[in-house]
Amino acid sequence: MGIFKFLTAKGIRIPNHKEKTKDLKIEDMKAPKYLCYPMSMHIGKPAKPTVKVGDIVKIGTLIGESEEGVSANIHASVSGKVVSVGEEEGFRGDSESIIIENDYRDDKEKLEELFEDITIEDFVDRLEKAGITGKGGAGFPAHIKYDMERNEVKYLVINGAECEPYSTADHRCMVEYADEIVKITKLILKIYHVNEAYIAVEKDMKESKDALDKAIKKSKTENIRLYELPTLYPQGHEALQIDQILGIEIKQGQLPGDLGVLLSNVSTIKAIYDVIFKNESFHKRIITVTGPMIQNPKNVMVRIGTKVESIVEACGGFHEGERINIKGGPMMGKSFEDLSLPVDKDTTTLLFLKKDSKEEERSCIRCARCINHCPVSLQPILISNAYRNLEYKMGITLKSESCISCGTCSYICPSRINLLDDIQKLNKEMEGKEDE
Amino acid sequence: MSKEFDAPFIKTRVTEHFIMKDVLIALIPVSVMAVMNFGISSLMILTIGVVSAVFFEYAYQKAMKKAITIKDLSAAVTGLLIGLSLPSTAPLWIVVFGTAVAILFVKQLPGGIGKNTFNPAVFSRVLIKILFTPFITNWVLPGPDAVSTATPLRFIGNGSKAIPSDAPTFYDAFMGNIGGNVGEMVKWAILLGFAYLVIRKVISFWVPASMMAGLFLTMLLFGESNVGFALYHVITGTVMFAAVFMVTDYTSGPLNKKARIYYALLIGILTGILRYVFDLPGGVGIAILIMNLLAPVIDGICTPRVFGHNVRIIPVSSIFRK
Repeated sequence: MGIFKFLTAKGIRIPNHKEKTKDLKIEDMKAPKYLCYPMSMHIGKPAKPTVKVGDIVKIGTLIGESEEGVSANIHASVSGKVVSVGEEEGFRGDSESIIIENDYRDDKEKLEELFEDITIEDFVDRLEKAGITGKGGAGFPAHIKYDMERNEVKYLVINGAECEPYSTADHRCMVEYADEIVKITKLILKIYHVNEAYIAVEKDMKESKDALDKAIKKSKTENIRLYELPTLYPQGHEALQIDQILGIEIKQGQLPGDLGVLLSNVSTIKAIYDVIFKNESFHKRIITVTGPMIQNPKNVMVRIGTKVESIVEACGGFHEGERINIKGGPMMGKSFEDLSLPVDKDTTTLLFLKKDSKEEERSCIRCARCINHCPVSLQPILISNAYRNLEYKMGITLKSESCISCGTCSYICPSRINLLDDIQKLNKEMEGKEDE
Repeated sequence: MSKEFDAPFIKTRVTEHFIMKDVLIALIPVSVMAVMNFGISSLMILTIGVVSAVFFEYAYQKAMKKAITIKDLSAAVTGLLIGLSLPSTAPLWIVVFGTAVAILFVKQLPGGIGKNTFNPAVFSRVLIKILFTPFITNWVLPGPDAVSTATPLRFIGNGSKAIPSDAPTFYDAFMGNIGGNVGEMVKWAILLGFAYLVIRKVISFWVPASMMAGLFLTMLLFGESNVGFALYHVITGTVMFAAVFMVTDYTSGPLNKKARIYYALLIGILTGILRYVFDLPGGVGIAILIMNLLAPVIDGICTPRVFGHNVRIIPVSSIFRK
């Protein structure tokens, strides 16, 4: 109801811990001797290996071919020799993986030059060839997202709101590649005949805002606008951002594309720039290596396939003590044990936190903070109760499948109830059962 | 991959202990004014209230072999609230009786914090009023002489539509120079606590405001648009104290923000009706208890629309406490 709009919280303030890395220049990290490429580094089906042991590859050589449906190509990020093709562990579980021995020659295999007038088909084809997947964390293949022939594109939104605490990879990308971002945005506007693009930035991240502002003025484009979002979590979420900026609510089961909205993360946009203007396949990315347990927090440009341990080494190793390793930010990231896992296309952040003793869960005091802060207006504590009382059907009534897993409820609960965990378990329980 | 620590890996520093500590801090001004006004007798009432409430919670949990939760300070808050809502002449055994009812019967019997239907402090206060009226209605004016007096509510209850000329002035009512319960008289001290709780985001400004607005509007209706009369109702009796510290109680109220506002508004309206139609000066307490029962219903009606869905489905069975 409209009259209560002023009561709705748009998000929560979380200490952002970005000060350690936000002013650090992106450092090029030297590629290690061996790199590992899991064929599953995106949402959907794993790619199919196209090389065999002994093959010589260059930077940009296709080593994994996209399968039918949702899948993406994978390219070598160093030049060298394929030494193994087989099952290895990656961030997305065990999958067929290719290991390449680096010869440090950095020979490149470039994509063919594009002609002047790029059509939508050329563009989508190029994204597919180059294996671009969303770099914000979900890893959705970009060529599927940009295949908008069926729908007219009305809006282009570029997401520069990096709402996860600690992460500064997107921020640095905007500061250091502002001109490139503006240039490619201009091109996408032209290709898709869109009138206006919004670049969403966070209010508190002044440097990236200023850099983009300058770049936009320099390019003399009037149809790219900066949209300043308040520094609140989870502002970076796709559907919420589209709602906030364009006032379009994406309904359950719809994709932004269905409503004529294209939204990409700034890092993805930068990767698209490299693909279009530099004819490079997607093979490296910016990663923030941070947290209280790492000696020298850094923003590094890393070749995809580099093992976490090599990156840790480049950042001076760890401080003494027990730690939790997290891929991604502290709110939505995943913990991992094995430091020999290779970095994949959607690794935004490697975060190393101190391992504190886990606080005991206590009784709910009905403060309703979870309900009043849920960005999609779910009632987390009621869903949690439904799960614990084995009333799974109630979970459907409460629309638990609309959960965006942002973790706000678990973060804010004063009694430390792991609400998100309960919601996810209930959703898992209900998977495929909805027809019954 | 390790599943031992699930996201989110960081947590807010606000715990229930933190929240209850804020409530206690917000009660400092009224407590200090209670002791300033009534001296040692109210100090005794407040101390016994807190100590006995904490003791009952500890003893019950020890006896039932449950985890001891007195550290969350919620029992201390309940004890203090009970003490503050009694007159300085109340015998100490009544204070102990009140905390026993609140902690053992109202709070712990249904399962402890977050499980009770009724607000413990309000329930025990209403019960005390019903059972022991002569003991707890010896109203005295602040000061060492303990001059007997009546509460301002006597002047405006019983169907009256205006403030009689012999009633205490607005100024006296606001400053607490009237008869009443030790913690409820000094309105500026209550407002100080109110401001603190709002700044600390423990409560929403709109909840107490809606309760007062509900009463104000009801009295405006009954008092034939006499603004002074309606306002007098808001600043007398236990209204402001209850609006800030009892209507905002998490456990006994609804969950949704919107529901909390309707709930508070209805308490205000109901208080007005009880005061005017039934001539019940203790109307606030009874209004709160009635609305405690209805809170889940309001919650259900106010179920928010989930993002991305067009229809709102009211989850009937989930709204009741489990």
